[in-house]
Amino acid sequence: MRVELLGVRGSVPVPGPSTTRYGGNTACVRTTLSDGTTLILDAGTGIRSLEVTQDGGEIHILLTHLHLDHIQGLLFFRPFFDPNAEIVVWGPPPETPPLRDMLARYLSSPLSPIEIRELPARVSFRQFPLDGCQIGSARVQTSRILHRGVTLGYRIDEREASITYLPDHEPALGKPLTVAEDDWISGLALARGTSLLIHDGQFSDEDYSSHVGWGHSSISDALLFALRAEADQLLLFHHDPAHSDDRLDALGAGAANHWEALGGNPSTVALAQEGRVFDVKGRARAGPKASTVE
Amino acid sequence: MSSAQHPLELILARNLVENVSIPAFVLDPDGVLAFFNESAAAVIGSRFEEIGPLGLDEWRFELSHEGRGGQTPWNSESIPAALHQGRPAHERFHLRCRDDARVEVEASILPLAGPQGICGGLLAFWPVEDS
Repeated sequence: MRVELLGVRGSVPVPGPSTTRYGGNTACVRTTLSDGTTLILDAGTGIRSLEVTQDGGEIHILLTHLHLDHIQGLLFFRPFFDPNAEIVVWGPPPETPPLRDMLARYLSSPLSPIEIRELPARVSFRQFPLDGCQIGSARVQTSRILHRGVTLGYRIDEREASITYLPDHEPALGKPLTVAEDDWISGLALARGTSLLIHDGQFSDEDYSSHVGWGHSSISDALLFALRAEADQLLLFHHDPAHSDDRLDALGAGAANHWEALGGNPSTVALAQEGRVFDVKGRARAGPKASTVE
Repeated sequence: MSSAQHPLELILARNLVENVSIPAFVLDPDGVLAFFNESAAAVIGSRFEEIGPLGLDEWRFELSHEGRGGQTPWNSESIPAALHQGRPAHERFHLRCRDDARVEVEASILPLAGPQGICGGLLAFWPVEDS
């Protein structure tokens, strides 16, 4: 399973000289399965650069939630303008109003020059089944997770490999993860034993203290969550738009040290960087479980 | 994915009751007492960790005088109604506390429903002043 990070920033795109290394685009991750199926996790501005061929059949876009930083790239996804493209957009509950109508609030006048009904591609909009489903060669499971508004986390399993995507998540809200029992931690069962965990790590510990309840995690909480989930590898995601590359370097170094202090291998935790590509392998294999192949 | 995780509604309910000072239980869809807060513990005289999760019949027996006496509290079946039909309910019953102390309480149960149906309930109670 191949994973490509196309946008790793939270809240709002931040292009500019201080964000060139980690990237300024908002959330978007492409997963390519062994059978060629393309699953796109969220449709932030990172989706704009995506080239997708129709060789793999339907294109699947899995939206975790409908906050603007996760959908604002939709209109710039080129296959929407290809009349031969078949695209399924999956999203969170509720059934009413339907996902299509919710997205049309953004993709309609006066916010958009193009209406959803005008998209040339064959597009369907579906609520993701809460008991999971098979897409291509992967089993995709979901769980509603703690964030502001209805939000899904996704787990994609293919053979021995899995990725779990929890880009906006505050599992420590209400109770520290050091004392919470497993069955009372949002998202933990979904992430259990995953090969690659992509998890919200927006705030430094200092920043988090003044942002409790905003729906995002401190880096320390993301590390504790990964530890409790026994994830093989952790990518900290949804970087604060106020954090420059230099600031993220420092936070990443601190995270690696903290991870090591928790008993982890510091090489298995990193801050997500736009453009990085991972070949995710199962935990049955020896050595690093996910290696960059750029 | 392990299924051993409470639904998000119950996690949120537990977070809520842990942070408010009104005594409250969190019940799963079968009526299992999944959690109660420190305010409830102060009335009962035992912490949740000492009692642990209890099935519906168990906690109705252990925590009520009516249960001990053979009479089922909530005898109007309001808990099952709340959990199976999604109807809030309000009743009085006698809580059996540490050392067999008897405390009359009023209680309201609020069913919690999510996209997959009713996933539990939040039962808040308070001692009746003139008991």
